[in-house]
Amino acid sequence: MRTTLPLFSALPNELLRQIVESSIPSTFHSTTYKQRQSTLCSFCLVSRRFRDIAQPHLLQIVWIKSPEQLEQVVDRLDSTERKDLVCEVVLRALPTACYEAAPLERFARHGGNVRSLALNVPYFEGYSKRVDLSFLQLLPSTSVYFLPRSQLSQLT
Amino acid sequence: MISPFAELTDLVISNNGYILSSPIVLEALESLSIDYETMCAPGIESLLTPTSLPLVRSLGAVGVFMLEDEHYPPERFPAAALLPQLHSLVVEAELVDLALNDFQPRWDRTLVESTPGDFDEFAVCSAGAQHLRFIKLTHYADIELFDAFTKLIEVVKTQDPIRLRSIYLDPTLRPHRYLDPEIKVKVEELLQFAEDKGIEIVFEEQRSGESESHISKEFRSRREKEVHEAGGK
Repeated sequence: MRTTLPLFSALPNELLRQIVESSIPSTFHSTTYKQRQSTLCSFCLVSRRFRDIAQPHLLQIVWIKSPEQLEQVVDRLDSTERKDLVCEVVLRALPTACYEAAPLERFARHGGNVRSLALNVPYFEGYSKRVDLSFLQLLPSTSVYFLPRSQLSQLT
Repeated sequence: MISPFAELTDLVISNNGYILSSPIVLEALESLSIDYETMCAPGIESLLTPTSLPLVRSLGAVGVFMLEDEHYPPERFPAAALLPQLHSLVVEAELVDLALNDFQPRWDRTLVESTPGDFDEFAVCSAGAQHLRFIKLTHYADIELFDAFTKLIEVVKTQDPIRLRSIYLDPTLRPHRYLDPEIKVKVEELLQFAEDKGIEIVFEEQRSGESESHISKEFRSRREKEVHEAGGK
């Protein structure tokens, strides 16, 4: 049986937004992330209005735990026009995982609104591969760039 | 061309699986939390400079315990060049031993993070540390907690003059009725002696995951306020 929510239909979007946003943590925490995403999914199922408000939050904080997930996230971003939704990214790896440069670079190019980035990649000789942080240069911002040759000498 | 996007302001680099093949500039970055082993990794040194991180004001550098002997760095703090521009710095107590000369002029902006029982509070406080944080004391057995508090109380009681200004503890150590009775007595004793000596006890939620920043939001915001009041210097 379909439930109607007359109370909610009378409320303006601003209040619905407050309901959604006050129900979830605004920043990443490993202990609350799963519940955060689950709460948002539940909101998406309440009504179209709630879905329109809650859905963007699903992409706001992204927790990537494997190279396969990274590919999935990049594919998802490829297919959406709202690449600016992602604000906070947490990327971690198991000891045997290898993040290749290409997907990281693809991801960085899509990281349109990333303000906070947490990387947690272990290295075990013979099992994993070090991540080259120079992929950060590809974040779409004016703020990350290669140094001109004249300045390189000052750093080394 | 001006980018319509927000810029990366907070970066956390945990664990040791990184290199930096080409120097880059993170012009908008304000806060960097980085494991010590990564600070010593190939190419990373070029990132830890005012040229590469011109706006960084908060730095967290911990994880010394992860280092193998052969990776132990020289006496200089790898991010020493950044120290003058920092408003707040979180470093592990072991690092203080390694590069005391780098930290000594900056105790007012340095939060020394320690594992209870693993370091000498007397030595760190004698060196001049003004702000201490005990990391996740709740992970430790009550006996170790008891000993750690006993040592800390001794430091607060006996050091005269004492330069300590604040001690950061996890909120689970507030002296409420669920706390182990012996520990509760110790926390209350610490609160009392700290008050007598003008030392503030700050209860702040600590990181619980490996991917979380080492930077203390509370310490950072207090320092920002102090810097602002001092005229932005």
